[in-house]
Amino acid sequence: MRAAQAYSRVKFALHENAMWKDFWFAGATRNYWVLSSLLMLGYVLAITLGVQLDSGWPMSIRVLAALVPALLIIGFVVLEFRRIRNTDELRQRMELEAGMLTLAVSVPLLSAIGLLDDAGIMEVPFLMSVPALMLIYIAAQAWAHRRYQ
Amino acid sequence: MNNRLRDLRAEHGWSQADLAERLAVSRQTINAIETGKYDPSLPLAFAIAKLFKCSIEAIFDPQGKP
Repeated sequence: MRAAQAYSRVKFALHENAMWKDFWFAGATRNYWVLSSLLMLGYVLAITLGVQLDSGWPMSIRVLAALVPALLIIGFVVLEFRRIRNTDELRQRMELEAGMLTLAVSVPLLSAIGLLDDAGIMEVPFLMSVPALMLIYIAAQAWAHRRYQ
Repeated sequence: MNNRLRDLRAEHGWSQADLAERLAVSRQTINAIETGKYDPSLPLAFAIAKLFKCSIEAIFDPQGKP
């Protein structure tokens, strides 16, 4: 009985018109899911491999390993841009407001953390900036969504 | 901006989702317009007016408050 209820809930959540899709992933197509998953996987692999490269490796390989994650992020940004282009005008406005809020919060915050790191007061790995940006963006999206509810 | 969208939709017996589908926008957009939290773009306002076969001024009142 519980399994049937759980199945029913999952089926409802994955339904074509499920509300969460309208919120978080409006405009997302099947191609978006496939490409974004591949980009995410590539990013994690590139970071994992890049961290393990020591100075014994040729310079060209090290430069490539350092740049691949940035290229993957650019790919993800392009993908997000195309997804947002597929949404309606209100959603585009919400994305714009969320983006501006993310910028307004993340630039001073990450600058302050960077300066504190430079001053030796706290140590924050640079790689943490991407997940931090993602979290701020998700919070900003939630705020923008509530504004027009 | 005040508008008569909810009344017009009710007259036609459409749900927000029905109207959203006819206008190719999300249900949230219809809800935000009806509650006065969002003013539609000119193309969308024209599409709404065309769908209900009336002028934009007959639906949207720039002087009124929601």
